[in-house]
Amino acid sequence: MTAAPKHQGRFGESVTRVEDRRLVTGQGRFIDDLVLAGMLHMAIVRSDRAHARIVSVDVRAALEADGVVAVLTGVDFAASGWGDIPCESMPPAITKGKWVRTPFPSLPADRVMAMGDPVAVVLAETRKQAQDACELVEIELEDLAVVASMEAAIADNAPQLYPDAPGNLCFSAELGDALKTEAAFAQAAHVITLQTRQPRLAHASMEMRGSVGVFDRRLGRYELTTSTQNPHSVRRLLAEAVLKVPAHRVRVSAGDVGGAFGLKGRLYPEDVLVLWAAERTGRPVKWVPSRSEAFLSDFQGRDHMASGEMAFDAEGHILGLRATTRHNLGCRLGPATGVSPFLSARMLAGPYVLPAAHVRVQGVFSNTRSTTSYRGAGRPEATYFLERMLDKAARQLGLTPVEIRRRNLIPAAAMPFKTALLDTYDCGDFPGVFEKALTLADWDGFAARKAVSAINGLLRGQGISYFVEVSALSNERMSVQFDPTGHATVLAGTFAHGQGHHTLYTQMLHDWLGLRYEDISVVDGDTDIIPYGGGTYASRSVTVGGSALRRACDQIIVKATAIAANLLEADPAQISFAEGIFTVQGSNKALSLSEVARAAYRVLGHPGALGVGLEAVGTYTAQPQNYPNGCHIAEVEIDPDFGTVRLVAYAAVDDVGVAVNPLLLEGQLIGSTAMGVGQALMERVVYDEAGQQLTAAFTEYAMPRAEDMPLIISALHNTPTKTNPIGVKGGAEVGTIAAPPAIVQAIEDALGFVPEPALTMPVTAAQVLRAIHREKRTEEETK
Amino acid sequence: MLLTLTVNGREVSRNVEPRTLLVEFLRDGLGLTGTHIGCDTTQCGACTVHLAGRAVKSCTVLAAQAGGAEVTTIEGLSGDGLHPMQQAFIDHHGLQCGFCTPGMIMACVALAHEDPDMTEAQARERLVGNICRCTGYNGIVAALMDGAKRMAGDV
Repeated sequence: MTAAPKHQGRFGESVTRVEDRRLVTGQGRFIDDLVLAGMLHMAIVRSDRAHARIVSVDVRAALEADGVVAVLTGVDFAASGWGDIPCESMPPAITKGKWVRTPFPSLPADRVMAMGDPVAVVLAETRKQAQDACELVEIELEDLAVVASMEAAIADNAPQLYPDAPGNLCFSAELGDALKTEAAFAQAAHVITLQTRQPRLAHASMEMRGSVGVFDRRLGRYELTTSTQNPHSVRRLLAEAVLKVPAHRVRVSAGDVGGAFGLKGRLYPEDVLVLWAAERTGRPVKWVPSRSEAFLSDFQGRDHMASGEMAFDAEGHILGLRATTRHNLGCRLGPATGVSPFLSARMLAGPYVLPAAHVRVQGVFSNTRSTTSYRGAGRPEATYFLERMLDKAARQLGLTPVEIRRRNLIPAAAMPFKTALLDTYDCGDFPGVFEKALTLADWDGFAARKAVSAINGLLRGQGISYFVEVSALSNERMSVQFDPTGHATVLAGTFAHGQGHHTLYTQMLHDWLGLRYEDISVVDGDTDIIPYGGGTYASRSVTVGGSALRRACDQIIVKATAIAANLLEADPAQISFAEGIFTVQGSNKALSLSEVARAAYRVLGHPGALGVGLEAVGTYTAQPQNYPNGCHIAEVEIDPDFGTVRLVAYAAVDDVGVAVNPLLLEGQLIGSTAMGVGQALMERVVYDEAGQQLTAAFTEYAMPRAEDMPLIISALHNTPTKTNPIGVKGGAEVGTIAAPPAIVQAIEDALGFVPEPALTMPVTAAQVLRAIHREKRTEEETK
Repeated sequence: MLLTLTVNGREVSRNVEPRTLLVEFLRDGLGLTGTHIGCDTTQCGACTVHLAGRAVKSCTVLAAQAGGAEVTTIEGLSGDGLHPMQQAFIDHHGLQCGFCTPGMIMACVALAHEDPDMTEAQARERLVGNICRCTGYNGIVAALMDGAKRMAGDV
C-alpha cells in the first residue's frame, strides 16, 4: 500500500470500505445471529462410517428427551417426495452428456457413502437439547467395502460405488487434437514426463455454513436464510429440483456471510432439511454446525492428480502436451462438482505457445465428501502441473527457469491467441508482466540474499510461476433505481461476502453518475428484491456485475436526459451531463440528477410519455470471457536442522485489466496468496484407509497465521480487456493459483537437489527433513 | 444457577445452566452477537472478549467463571464513535468478510495495551491466537501496529 486510502473516491482510486463500520463494531448480521420467534434448533446425527447400509434408525429414546419436538429419518424424507440435489456443472460440449448421475437425497434412507453423511435430524427447543438428543438416536449400520481415496478408487478390482460407474469413473472426456499432438511428439528433441498431486482442501471459511428455514403456511411459501455466495442459484435449485414449485414460492436471502471461497456456492442438504423440518413442524428451524461438524459435512476442494508429458524442440520450445487430469469427486455429485475438472482441463492450454495438446479429464467416485470449487477452481490444478513441468524441463534441458519461460510465453503481438484447447485469449502482455515481476522481486540479486541466509545457517531458494486464468463466467443483471427522494439504490445480482462490492459499486455510481456516497445504497442477497442474479464466485463480480452496472448507468443518463430536457425546456440534443449535473449548452440552466429523479415521480410537469420514476436495468453476458494473468515469485528459507520452511519474500505482478480499487484488489491478492501458502505448506484433509476423516478441527487442519505470511509486494501490468465495457478482468484468485508452484519450486531451489520421491503438497517440515536425510545418505553411499 | 456479572458496564443477572460457556451467555443470553464462534477448540479467536481487562477466548471460559467480573465485548469497546483500533482496521483494510474481526480487534486492543510500540515481526508473532481466512493478515498487522500507536496517543 503506498498512498493512504480515501474514505470516498472515484472508480480507480483506493477507497476504504463502506461495509466496515458495522463489521468493526459487532453489528454484522451473520446466520447464527438470526433468531426468530418460536424457532426450533436442528441437530444432525451423522454417520461415523464411510460406507454402510442403513439397517435401522431407532428414534424412540431421543423423542422422549427434554425439549425434543421431532426426530426425522431418511425414511421420512423419502416419503415426503422432496427431490434430490442435482449436479449442473458437467459441460455438455465436453462430456457429450456421458456422465454418471448420482442419487443425492438430503437425508439418505438406505446407504451412507461418506463419514458425516446425515442419518437423522433432531428438532428441539434449544441447540443443546437437540445436540444432547442426538446421542440417544440408535443407528444400526452394516459396513460396505470402502474406497477412501482416488488411488484406491481407480485401482484394479476396487469396490464399485455405483453399478453404472465401472472403475468408479463418473466421466472420461477428451479435449484437443490427438493426431496433431502425436505428430508434435514425433518431432520432439526432448520429452519430459511429470505427475503432480493436489491435496484435498477444506475451505474453512471463518463463518461456518448455516441455515434458517421458514414455511409460510398462509402463502404456501418457503423462506430460506442461508450463508451462501449465490442466493439465486439456491432458490432455482430448490424450486426446480427439490420442491418442484414455481420459483416465486421460494425466497432465499442472506445477511452478512463470513467468507466462502467456493464452499457456499450452491445448494446443500442442510438448506433442504431446515425447510423440510419447518414445513413439518410449522415452526422456523435453524441449523448451525460446530466446526467439527462443518469439517465433516462441508464439500471440499482440489484432490486432483495430473500426469502427462510435454514435447520440446532442441532449443526448449514447447511442441505439444499430452495429459490426463483426474479429480476425486467424492461420494456424490454436488451442484458444482464438475466445475474444477473441466476448468483444470481447459486451462492446461496455459500461458505458453503450445501448438498441440491432447487432454483427457476424468472424474472419480470415492467414499469421501463431495468436492466442489475451491478458490481458483481448476486453474490452480492446471497451473501447478504446467509450472512444475517447465521447471523440470528447464533442469533437463540445461536452461534456467527464467529462460525456458522467456522462450515460450505467448508474445503480446500474438494476441488474440487461439489456444490448442478451447479458449482464445483476447489480450495480455505476458512477457511484459514476466519481466516486471523479475525486476520487482530482484530476481538477479538473489545470490546476495542467499549468501546472507547461508551465514545464518539457512538454505534460501527462489521460485517463479506464471499463470493465465479465465474470468467472467455466466451473465449478470444489475439495476439502478432512484427513489422519489432522489437517492439511488443498486440492486445487484452479484452477492458480496467479504469482497467489498458495496464499496466498488458505490465508487462506480459516484464516478459515473456524479452522486454523493451518502446518496447511494447497494442491496444484494435477497431473491424477493432482486429478480435475477448470478452470485459471486470465480472472480466474476466486478467484471460482469460492473459491466452490467455500467450499462445500467448509461441508460439512466439517457433516460434522465429526456426528463431533464423537458424540465429545462430544451432539446435533448442540447443537454449535456457531467459530474451529476445536466446543463443546457450555452446557458446557465442546470439540474442535478437527483432533482431530475425526484421530478420523474411527480405528476405535475412530468408528461406520462416519459414514464414514471427513474430506473434502468443493465445486463452483461461474457461472450467471450477474459483472461487475467500474472507472475508470482516466492523466496523461502529452510532450516536444514528442522526442515521448517519459511516464506520470506513474495512478489506479484498481475494483469487484471483495470483496477477499480487498488486497496481492495491488493486485499484479494494477499488473501488469496495466504490460501496458496496454506495449500503449498500446511493444508490437507486426511482420510484413513477406512474413510475416517482425521482432520476435523483447527487443531488437526493447519492454516496460515499472521507469522506464516511475509510482506507481499505487488504491482500491476494491466492490459484492459475489450470484451467488456469497463476493461476489468478478474483479480480475486491470483494467489491460490500462482503461489503453490512458486513456493514448491523455491523449496527445491533452496535444497539444491530434486528430492526422490518428489515433494508433495503440503510440503511439511517432516517431508523436507526426510528429503534432506535421504540426500545425505545417498551422498555418503556414493563417496 | 443465577449468574451476575458486568457486561459492557451494565450489571446483568441471568439463570444459566452450569455448563454454559461465556460466549453462549453473551450471544444467546444477552443477544450480544458481535462475539462470534469460529471453532470449538480455542484455535481461531473469533470469540475473544476482555474479562477483567484481559483478552480471553470466551468459548473456553464458563460463564460461571466470569461471575462478578467485568466483561467487555466488541459492542462495548467504544461509545458513539469508533475506538482507535476499530478505525485502524478500516484504514488499513484489516477485514474482508468481517467474521473474525470483532475477536481480532479485541485481541489487538489487549496486545496494544501490553506494548504500544511493537515491531512487525512481534505483531505477527503475537497474533498467533487469531485466525483470519480472508485477508492474509497484512492489513491486520498494519492495523495492530498503527492502532497501538493511536491508542498511546502517538499519532
